[in-house]
Amino acid sequence: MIAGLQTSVQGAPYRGLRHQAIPASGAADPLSLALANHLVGRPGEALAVEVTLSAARFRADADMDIAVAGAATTVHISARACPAHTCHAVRAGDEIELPMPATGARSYLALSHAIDIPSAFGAGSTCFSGHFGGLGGRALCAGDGIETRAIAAVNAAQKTPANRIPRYENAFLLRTTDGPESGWLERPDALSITSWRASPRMNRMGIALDGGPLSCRTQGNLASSAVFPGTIQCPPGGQPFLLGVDGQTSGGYPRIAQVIRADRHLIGQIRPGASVQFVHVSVSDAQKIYRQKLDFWREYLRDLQLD
Amino acid sequence: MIPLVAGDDWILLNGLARAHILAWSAAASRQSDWQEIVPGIDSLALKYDPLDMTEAQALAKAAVLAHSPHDIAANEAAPITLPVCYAAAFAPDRQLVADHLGIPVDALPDWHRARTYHVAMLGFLPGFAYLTSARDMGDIPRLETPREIVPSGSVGVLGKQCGLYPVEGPGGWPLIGRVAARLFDPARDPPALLSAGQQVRFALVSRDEFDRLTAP
Repeated sequence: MIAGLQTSVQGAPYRGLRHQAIPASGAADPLSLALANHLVGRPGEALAVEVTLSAARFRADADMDIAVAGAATTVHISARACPAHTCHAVRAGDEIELPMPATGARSYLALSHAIDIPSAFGAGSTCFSGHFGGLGGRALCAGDGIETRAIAAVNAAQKTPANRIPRYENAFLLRTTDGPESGWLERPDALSITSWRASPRMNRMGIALDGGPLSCRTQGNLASSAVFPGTIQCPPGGQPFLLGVDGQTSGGYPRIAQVIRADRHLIGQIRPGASVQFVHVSVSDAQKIYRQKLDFWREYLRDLQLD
Repeated sequence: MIPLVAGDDWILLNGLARAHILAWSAAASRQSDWQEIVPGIDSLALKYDPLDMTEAQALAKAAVLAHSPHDIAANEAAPITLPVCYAAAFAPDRQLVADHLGIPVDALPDWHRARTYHVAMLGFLPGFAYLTSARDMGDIPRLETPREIVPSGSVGVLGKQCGLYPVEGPGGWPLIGRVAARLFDPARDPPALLSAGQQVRFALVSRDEFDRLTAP
């Protein structure tokens, strides 16, 4: 009913399709998506509704369970304030409102009903640049209806355990390893010793960072080459750009760092004005951190995937 | 060729000739250990899950690719000919491009379709093909003000490449025509019509023929 800044249907990323120039898409914060889905007894990557920054309001057309995770700490069900990270039963006709969060950027509204998006490949997440997936490959507008299908109830968690609820401050520490062109930086540690602020120029494709600027030797134009979510590129002006889940599959700017796989889910919670600090780690440490993080989370979310 | 570690879950093979990119990309798919195999203009990126492989194991697997045969023909999709219309309405930048090349505008369609192209890679937008030609492409400059919306099917030329817009999107490529082909179709698997290594030619169609081919 109120669509918000950018609300879209998102679930699993598109995998194994980057050679076709199809961006990952899917939830910008896959950990919060999985937490929300777990509360309503759905698979971690089931399609849900991703809400960005602003408030959004929906009306349930059927009785079902809902849960909210991510930036929002409350959800209003027909004007009754209810906590996030809790499974709530709603009735047909109930209004569900996600208020504007104080910190973080994206919230996930998961449903015990299945959202069916017909798809020739992949899981149906909205791909904005390809105009497919979700509802017509676009953000939801006021008046849109999301078709849902009742499915057999599974044992749902009623509440996320307190020690499993991520808290988002508007300050982020992201660990990085080298990118292919890290050696182009005048100072190898320039990214780590500078304090960065997320600029308002941000969306699911990426975040322009204010600070610095960086001095990067330009060794001629870089022939178009692969980039991934979490790649940090340095355009000629020296203001780095951090790629998100909708980031293009190739780019021509120097890739000066790569956010480690374990920390990429945090990128989806960075809002304009948030401070961002990068800490360089070795590849073997990054891989160890990834294994440890998955071990911790998979005790609770068995099917969690972090790409 | 020394594989370059780039992040904790991907590696990059850099400075490669087209033949190597195609052959190693095909060999990498046969290894079936890679989550993504992404050709660039002169590179090949391989993404993996660190739960499956350590950095050393990934590098060792990539090094094996260097010993793959370089038989391009075995790895290329069938050549394709795309119907193209150079009508003025589809070619808003034809004067600019012709001036840059120092040829009359009327000669631009022949200049473009006389060449045989190969898909160097897909990138930028879903299904967007970067085409290269063995013949000189004139190094066309980017538009000073990019367009907010470029219609799907648009044929652009930029630098030493020709680019085909599979979906509507933004862009700074000077446009010289439009193809009558579904370059990207999410109802198809795979959705992209073209793939890296594929040979592409263009066949001239009139505006009437173009409209007939693209009628729903």
